[in-house]
Amino acid sequence: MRTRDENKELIVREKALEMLVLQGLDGFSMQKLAKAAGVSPATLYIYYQDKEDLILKLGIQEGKRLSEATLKNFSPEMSFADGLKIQWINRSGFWLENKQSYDLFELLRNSTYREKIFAAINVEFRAIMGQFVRNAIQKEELIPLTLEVYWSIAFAPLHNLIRFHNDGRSVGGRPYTFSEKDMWEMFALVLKALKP
Amino acid sequence: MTSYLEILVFKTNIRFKKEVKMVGNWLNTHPSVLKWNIDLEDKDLVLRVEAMKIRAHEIIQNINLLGFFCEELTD
Repeated sequence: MRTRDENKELIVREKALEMLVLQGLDGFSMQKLAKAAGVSPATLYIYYQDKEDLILKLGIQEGKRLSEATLKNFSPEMSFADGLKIQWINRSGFWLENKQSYDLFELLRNSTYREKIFAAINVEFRAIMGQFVRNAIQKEELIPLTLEVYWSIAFAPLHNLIRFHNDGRSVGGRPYTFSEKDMWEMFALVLKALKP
Repeated sequence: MTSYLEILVFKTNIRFKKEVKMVGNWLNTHPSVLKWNIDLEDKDLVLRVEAMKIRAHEIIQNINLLGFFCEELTD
C-alpha cells in the first residue's frame, strides 16, 4: 500500500501552479509535472486521476483559499461601508500576495473548467455575500441594483487596479504599481456611488 | 485484515475510446474496483484503478488477455 506523502503533495501542487501559469493549459502535462516536481508519474497518478482532475482540484483549492481570505474579519451584519472596506482589504491582500493564483484564475476564466470550479466554490460564501447586500439595502445604506451592476461598481474598480499592477502597466502602457492611496481614493468614490 | 482502498497505476497501450470500452467492460463488473480511468492524453496511457483488495497481477493478467500491454508503474 502506498501512503500519501503530504509534503510531496504540497510540492506537486506548487509546481503545478507554477507550470500552469507559465506554460498555459495546453503546455501542461502530467509527465512534465512529474519531472519538475521530482516525483514519479506513478506518484502523481496516485494523487490525481489525470491532468483534468489535477487542474480542477487546483482551481477549487485556490478558489477556497480566496473565499476564506475574503471572509476574514467579515460579517454580513456589518454596516455597508465597514463591510465593503474589509472586503477591499481582504481581496486586495489576497491578490497581491498570490500572484500565481491570480494568473491561474485568469487562465481558467475562459476555459471549460470554469463552471465546475464555480459550482464547487462554497455555497456558503455566496450566501454570506448575498446576506450582506440584502442587509445593506434594508438598512438603506446601499441602493438596490442588479447583482452585475452592484459587483461592477463595488469590486471591478479594485480588480482593475490590481490588474494594472500585475501587468505592471496601465492605460497606454504607462508603468503602474498598486498603492493603498489609490485604493482608498477609489474606495471613497465607489462608496459615494453606491449610497442612496 | 481490514480492507483498504488501494490506488494502482499502470502503463498501457490502450489508445482509443473503443479499447477503453473493452477494458471498461471488464473493470466495471469487477466487484473490487470502485473507480478507474485511462489517461489517453498521457504518453504512458496510464490506467488508474481505485479498488479494495486487488492485486496488480490480476489486473495485468486480464488486460493482457484483452490483448493490451499493461505494466505497473512504480516509483
